[in-house]
Amino acid sequence: MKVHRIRLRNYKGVEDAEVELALDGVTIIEGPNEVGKTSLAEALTLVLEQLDSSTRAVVRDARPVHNDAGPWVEVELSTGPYRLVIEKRWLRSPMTHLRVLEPRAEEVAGRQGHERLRAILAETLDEQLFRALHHYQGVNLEQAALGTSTSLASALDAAASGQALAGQKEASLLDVVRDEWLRYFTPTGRPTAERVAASENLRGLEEEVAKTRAELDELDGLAERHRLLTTRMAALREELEKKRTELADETKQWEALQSQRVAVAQAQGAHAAALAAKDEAKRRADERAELRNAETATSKAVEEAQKEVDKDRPALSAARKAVQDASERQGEARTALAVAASAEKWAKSAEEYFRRLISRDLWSDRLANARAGQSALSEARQTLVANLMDEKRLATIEEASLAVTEASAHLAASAGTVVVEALASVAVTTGAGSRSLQVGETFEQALDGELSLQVGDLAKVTVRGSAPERSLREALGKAEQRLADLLRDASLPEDTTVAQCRVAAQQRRDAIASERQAEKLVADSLRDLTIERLETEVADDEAFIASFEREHGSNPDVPGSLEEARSRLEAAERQRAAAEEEGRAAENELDAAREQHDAVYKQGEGRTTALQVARSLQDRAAEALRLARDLQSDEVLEVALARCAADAEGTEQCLVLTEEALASLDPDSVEARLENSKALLERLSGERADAETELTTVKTTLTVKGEEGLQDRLDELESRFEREARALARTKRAAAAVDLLWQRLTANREEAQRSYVAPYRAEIERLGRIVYGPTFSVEVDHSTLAIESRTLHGRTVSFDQLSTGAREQLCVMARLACAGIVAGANGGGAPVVIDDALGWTDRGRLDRIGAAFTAASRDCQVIVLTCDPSRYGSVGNAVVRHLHPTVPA
Amino acid sequence: MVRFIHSADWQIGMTRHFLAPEAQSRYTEARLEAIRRIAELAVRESCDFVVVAGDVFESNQLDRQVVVRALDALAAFEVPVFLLPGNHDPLLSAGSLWDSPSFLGRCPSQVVVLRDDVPVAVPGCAAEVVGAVWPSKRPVEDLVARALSALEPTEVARVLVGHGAIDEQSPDAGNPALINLADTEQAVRERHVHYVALGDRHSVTEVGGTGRIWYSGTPLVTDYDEVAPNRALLVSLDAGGCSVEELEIGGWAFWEHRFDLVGDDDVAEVGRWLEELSDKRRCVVKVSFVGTVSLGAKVRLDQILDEHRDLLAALEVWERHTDLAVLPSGQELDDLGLGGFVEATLEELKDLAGAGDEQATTAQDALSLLFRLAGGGT
Repeated sequence: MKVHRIRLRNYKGVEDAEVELALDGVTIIEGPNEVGKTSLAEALTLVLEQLDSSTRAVVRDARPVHNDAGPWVEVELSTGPYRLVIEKRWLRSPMTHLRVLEPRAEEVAGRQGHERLRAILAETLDEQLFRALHHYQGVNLEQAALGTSTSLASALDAAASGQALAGQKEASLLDVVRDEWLRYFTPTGRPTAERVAASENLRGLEEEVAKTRAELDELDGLAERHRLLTTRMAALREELEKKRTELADETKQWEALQSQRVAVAQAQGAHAAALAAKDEAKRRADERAELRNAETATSKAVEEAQKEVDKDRPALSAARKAVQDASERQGEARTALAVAASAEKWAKSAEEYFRRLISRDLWSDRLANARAGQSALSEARQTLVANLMDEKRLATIEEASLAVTEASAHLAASAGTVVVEALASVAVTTGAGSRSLQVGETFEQALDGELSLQVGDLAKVTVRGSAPERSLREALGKAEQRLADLLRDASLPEDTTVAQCRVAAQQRRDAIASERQAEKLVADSLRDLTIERLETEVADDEAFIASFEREHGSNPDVPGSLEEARSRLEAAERQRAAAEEEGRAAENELDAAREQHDAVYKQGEGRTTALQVARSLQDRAAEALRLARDLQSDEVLEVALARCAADAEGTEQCLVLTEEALASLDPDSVEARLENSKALLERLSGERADAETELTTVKTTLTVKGEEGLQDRLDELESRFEREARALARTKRAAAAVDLLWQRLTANREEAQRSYVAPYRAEIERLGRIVYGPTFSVEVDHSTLAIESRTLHGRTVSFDQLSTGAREQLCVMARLACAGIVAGANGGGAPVVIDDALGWTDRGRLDRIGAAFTAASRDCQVIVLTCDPSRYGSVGNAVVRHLHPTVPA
Repeated sequence: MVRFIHSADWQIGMTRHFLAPEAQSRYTEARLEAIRRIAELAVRESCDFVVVAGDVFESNQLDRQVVVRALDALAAFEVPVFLLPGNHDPLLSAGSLWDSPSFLGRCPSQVVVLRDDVPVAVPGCAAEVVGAVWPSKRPVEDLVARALSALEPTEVARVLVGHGAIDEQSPDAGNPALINLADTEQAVRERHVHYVALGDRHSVTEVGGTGRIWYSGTPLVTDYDEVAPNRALLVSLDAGGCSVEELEIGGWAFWEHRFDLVGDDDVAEVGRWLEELSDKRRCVVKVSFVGTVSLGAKVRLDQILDEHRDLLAALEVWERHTDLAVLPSGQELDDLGLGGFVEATLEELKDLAGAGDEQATTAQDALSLLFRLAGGGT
């Protein structure tokens, strides 16, 4: 479509304005804001789309601001083979006037005019493209909705394949196919609820058919069962009747059998009784025989026992004589032993006498030594108690004494010493005493301060020395004190000299030696005894001696010495031993004789007892036999036994006969048959009862079910099932077909879109490179044809992230590219309308965009509405129209 | 002379699944009409009685309403009617339709159910009827032979009514219930019986060489394979012999036809064939197609079938025997004037449709659909 001119009257702020448009290339309609240049674009849409009777907002918005007339638009345009003028007025005196100038002149008014216009547009104009190619400033930064444009699609298809085939028809077909597809599928591709329900319904029907058929089969089965049961019942009746007759016969046989069994039992009883009587008679006869045997046996035993007793008598007499002889010999031996023992005693006593004599002397010596030792020991110990000067103490005292001497010497050396040498015997007297000095003797005394001494009567000498050192004095004092202490400890007087001490030490040593000696003597004398014991021993020996001497002192037979006594004792002992030996032999002989006697005696005694027992037994047996015979004689018993045996034989024969009779009745068979018949009868009766019950049930079921019309129901269900199955199969087949068609169509369309997006993209890039240089490229979505991203200098930015200016430029270029492609393909298409765009684009860029406009609009119509014509000053092929305000101020 | 109508296989209560409910109810009604028609003919032909040789009812388990309506139709008879229980409606020891309250309660007095093989004298004429009654669905013996075994030769016109297949005609040789034809003919020749009225076979058929053993066929067609249905037999017996005459009863027809389709002319032939069917409301048709047709021809075929489906009692396409490939012609596709992705789709579908596999049918259907939706063939 191309617009030749547009005229507005009473349209918004425009009272009357008309603009002629260039058919190819760019028409720039320039005018200040608010003059209504945007109204031109709106009016074009309004006149093509709105009925003159419309009161919609878009129409009301077109009301003039300066009067109350109806807005009026007239447009002359070419579309497809048509060239026409459409004129419309709204709101006030609505009016439509269509004049078709080419190819055939026609003129239609009113609603028909509008409808004719719509028909022409529908035939020739891609209205989606028409709308998409309008670009309004500010409100239209979005990309053109080109994806649904069929003419673009067609043009692109032509560009891609060289054939302009995919047009409006194909697009509508796709819609129709989709509608058809949606009859069978949900938008997500699942079978529709109706189809699912139909499937389920069919399944339900199938189940119902099966169920009903099963019911019918069951009925058939029941009918057959009824027939079988009826037949069976008749057979059972016959069988039962027959069995009852048989049972009666068998019962009679069984009763006869029972009678015979009683007879047998009775015969058995009689026979048993006869046997018992026979056994009793036999037992008694046996008992009597035993008694007789016992009596005979005991008599014989008595005889034999008597023989034994008689046989023992001579042996017993011999044994008694032997005992007496042995006893006599034993008496003699005893007497001889007593004599020998007495002699031995005397000899022993004499021997002891001599031993005691010796012993007493020995004991006496030891006693005397012990006593002497004890006395010496006592003495030494007393000395040791008094004299404490042992070696250690002596050494200590000697040391202390030496210390005193040394201290005195030191003191004397310090104070000086007075030495008096006697030239004649003289007494020297000091304050401490007087001392006589022989010639040559000296008196020496340390000088301690002042010493006055008198030498005889000759002189009194006073020596005054210098005072000695105090420490020396103290040392001397200490030494002296220590010595004095030691002596005191030794229980010695203070003036005891060291020499005395040494003497005392020697004395102590001697005492110790005496003590040891005495101890040894005592020990040797006593050994393990005490003095008292020794004394007792001595006394004991002496008492024996005295006693012996008193008794035998006058006996001339007393031996002369110990040796003699001992030799006599030994002889006596030997004699006594011989006598003892003899006594023992006699005793042994006696014991043997006694033993022999006892054995013989005992044997005889046993035999006598046996004889007595045998006699006793014989008495009892004879008594028992006698008593028994008193009751029943042997003959009577014999007769009874014979009679009982005969009886038993008779009853046995009787029993055999009755048992044979019973066996001939075949009792096992009769009983088994009877039992079986009873069981069979019971079973058959049960079976008949069961059959009757079942028959009633089956009959009832058949009667009730038979009139339910199951067959009709099944027929109806089967009919419905088949109909619905057929319908479902048809639907399924149709669904498969439409699905296949839809899937292939959409897949192919997508494929086509993929291929035809290429020329569109190439056109955008051609225009873009004019503006941005050779590194410019874009990515285009194949289904929406929207620009996804732009790449410049190797840097790719998604469309949404581009600057407002860049986005606007791309939107304008996309429309130019689209219009160019569509126009180039079929000379159709729609004008690109750009309302005051590129406000955000800088001057430098605008120059290049001008070149792009020129390059794009060679075959298509581009209408630019702007308040700033300088923005488009660089568009080479532009025609500029000025739109001036027409409304009186 | 004794005259009677021999009929059989009324199959009252029969349902045909391929009939829509409306057609089914007409078909059911036609069955009762056939009974009334026989009653009319019995009067017109001065018959002494009527025998129905088994399968009077389709089943023992019929709705009470069906039984009652059948009895209402039976009330139209003015002469005795002897009904024989057959394999569909055996006289069971229990649960049999014949003993149901709905049957017994309304059974007209002239209707006699043959319940055993004891000869029944026909009131008012010198004839007697013997039934070889089916006691179960699967008897284990030749029931006709059994009924014959108790009979002695007679001069009274004796009609034996039996049901089932004849041994010489049955493929199921092991079936113990088959009727022994030789024995039956022997009995006829020895005048134990004078006519054997058989049922089970739905086409009129004479059996053996005596001229006295017949299947009457069904009075109303029940299936496509029935050669001579819609009949009953008018039988006349006299001392001299036996004459049998076919009577037209039912007015329904079952047609089965296979069409070989090569070109559009053959499709037109289908239309003509269907067009020529008379009394279409009572026609049940089953067609099958073999061959290859264009999309347009297939559309026209479908239109023809759709039209006739509304006219006929039933029109089935016998899918199992149909092998029809639908392939678009170049001209057809050109006429559609489709391009771009649609054209590509068309080409794909054409390839798929020619592949001969399972998807080919779907592809053919898809092509037809596309053809139709794109306005082709109009």
